[in-house]
Amino acid sequence: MALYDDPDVAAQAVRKLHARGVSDVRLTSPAPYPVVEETSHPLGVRQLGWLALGGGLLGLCTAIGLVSYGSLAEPLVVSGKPVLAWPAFSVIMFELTMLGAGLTNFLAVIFFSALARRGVGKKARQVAAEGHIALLVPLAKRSPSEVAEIRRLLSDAFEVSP
Amino acid sequence: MSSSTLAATIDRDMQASITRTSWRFWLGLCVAAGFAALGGWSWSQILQVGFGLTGLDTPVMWGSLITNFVFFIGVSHAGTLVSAILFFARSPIRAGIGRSAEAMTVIAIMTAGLFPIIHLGRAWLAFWLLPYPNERQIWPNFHSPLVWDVFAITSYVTTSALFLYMGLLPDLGSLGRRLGGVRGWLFRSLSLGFSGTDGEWALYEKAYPIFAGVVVPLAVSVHSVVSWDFAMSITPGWHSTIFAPYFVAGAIFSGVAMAIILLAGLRRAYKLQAYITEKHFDILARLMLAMSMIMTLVYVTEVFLSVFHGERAEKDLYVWRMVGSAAPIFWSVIFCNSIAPLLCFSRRFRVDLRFLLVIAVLVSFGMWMERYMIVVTSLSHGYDPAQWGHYFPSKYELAITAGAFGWFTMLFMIFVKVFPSISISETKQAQHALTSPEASHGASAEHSSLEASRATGESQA
Repeated sequence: MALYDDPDVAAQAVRKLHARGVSDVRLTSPAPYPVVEETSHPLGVRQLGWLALGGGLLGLCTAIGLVSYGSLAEPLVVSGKPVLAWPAFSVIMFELTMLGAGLTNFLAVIFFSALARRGVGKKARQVAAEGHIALLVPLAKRSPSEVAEIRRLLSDAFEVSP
Repeated sequence: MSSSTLAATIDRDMQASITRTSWRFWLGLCVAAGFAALGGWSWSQILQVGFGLTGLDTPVMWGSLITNFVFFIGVSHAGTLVSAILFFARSPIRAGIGRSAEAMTVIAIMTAGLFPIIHLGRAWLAFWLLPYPNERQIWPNFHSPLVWDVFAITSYVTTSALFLYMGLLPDLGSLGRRLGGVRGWLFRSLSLGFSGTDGEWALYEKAYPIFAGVVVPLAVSVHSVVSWDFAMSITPGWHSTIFAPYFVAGAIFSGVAMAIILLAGLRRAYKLQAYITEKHFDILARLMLAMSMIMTLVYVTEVFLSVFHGERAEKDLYVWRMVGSAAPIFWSVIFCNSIAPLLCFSRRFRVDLRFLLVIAVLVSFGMWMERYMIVVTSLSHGYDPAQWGHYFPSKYELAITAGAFGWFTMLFMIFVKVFPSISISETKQAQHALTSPEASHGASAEHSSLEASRATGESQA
């Protein structure tokens, strides 16, 4: 784990590691600096938009079911309008569509975030809370020469710990 | 100042805003809570005795309670909308004002939501408005704009609250790990485990624009639906196709004015001059001025159409508003909403907070009066002259109105005391974008850094 204060220096270190073929770099950061875009692309990032769309469609279907069933259960004619008055129902359909999309988006982020935290230790999380950027490079399956090379590439860090 | 020192300063300032409390805060909170209690007591009297304690009577069956509802829905409008639009514009000023604006939205809509319930009289039956399975198979009338309101407001408050909460997650996570005690435990619990890993940030950066994209049309729809509560009827003064954009523009106008008042108070109370700068107020004042001109166009259009399109009752209503016994209301609206904001053409009035605050208070008062004018004077002066009548809020209604402002202020004060009022992670990100040659790709030098802002802020303080 290498600690940085400057996001640009951390980004340079990530690029150097990538250039040397070290791709399994993870990081923790106190803010969404551009460096976070250079490392992990977790499960769910590409699917979020589609999930929100699906949630919206689910909300729309719920609204159609609700207004149809509710209106037909007691078919009173109000102001001469048809019992199933779709222009009037479109407001409720719109609102529940957006509500469905918003709720799904939120729940999806919470779910995928829990998955994205796997493999990042408690210490690295604490470091981010204290305002530093931590680069995490697994060394377990690397040869001593590779480890030495990685340590050299991370030499700009203000602290490197195993 | 190095980027690490700046980040540490941001952390320290934000942490101080929630951990240090002055006696002025407690005094302000007590005053606000006192007004809220007065409003609550008045409502309890109405519940006990009945609606006879209000000034409502035929033909004016909607009065100050519905006025408050429309006003606070309007205030709620601007916060999320401004925050989301600034997000899409990638504006660095969002970091300073976005959080407070979003909190204002949620708190205003929570305040607004009380009024239809208060106005029901039998508040304990409010759940009848909700569509729930029941043994008699009686459902709400889905054709009614009042039921649309239930769906619109419920969706808006849920989505706005989640939008605010999602923005809070990174700060709750980092503060929760730094702070001890009950506050640290609360923040850690509320952060849902957010700990700043690259994967979480990637998801956050992707999900936030989706949320903002959902919130913007919802914000526009909710005030349009509120306007249709009126426009769907045939009452003169209400039955108008212009009402939805009229209400949306008015909502942004009143919301921006309220945001200026709250941000000015927040800046002064927590010494946040480095984060909420003159530039923020300058931009908000420009927006308020633009909305004022749109409102003026709407007022002129309404009068022009009513006087010249030949509908007798409509024409009589507007002439009565302008020169009859309702004229003080009409002209105070024009003065506060159309004339006073014109001072914002001068930069001096936009950046001098004393002047800007006076203008914002006038606009807020003017917008409350405008809602009152729409609700009350239209019902007072309908088609049948034999049915014309007057209305003035009773002391109980006035106390509830004061209580609503107290409740709104109290909740806002509690929010900014418990949670960081400025997004810490976003401020760091914005600061990095402004100072880093790599991130800004040579951003224009006119963007002052936080360091410069701090110097300005400290000299102003």
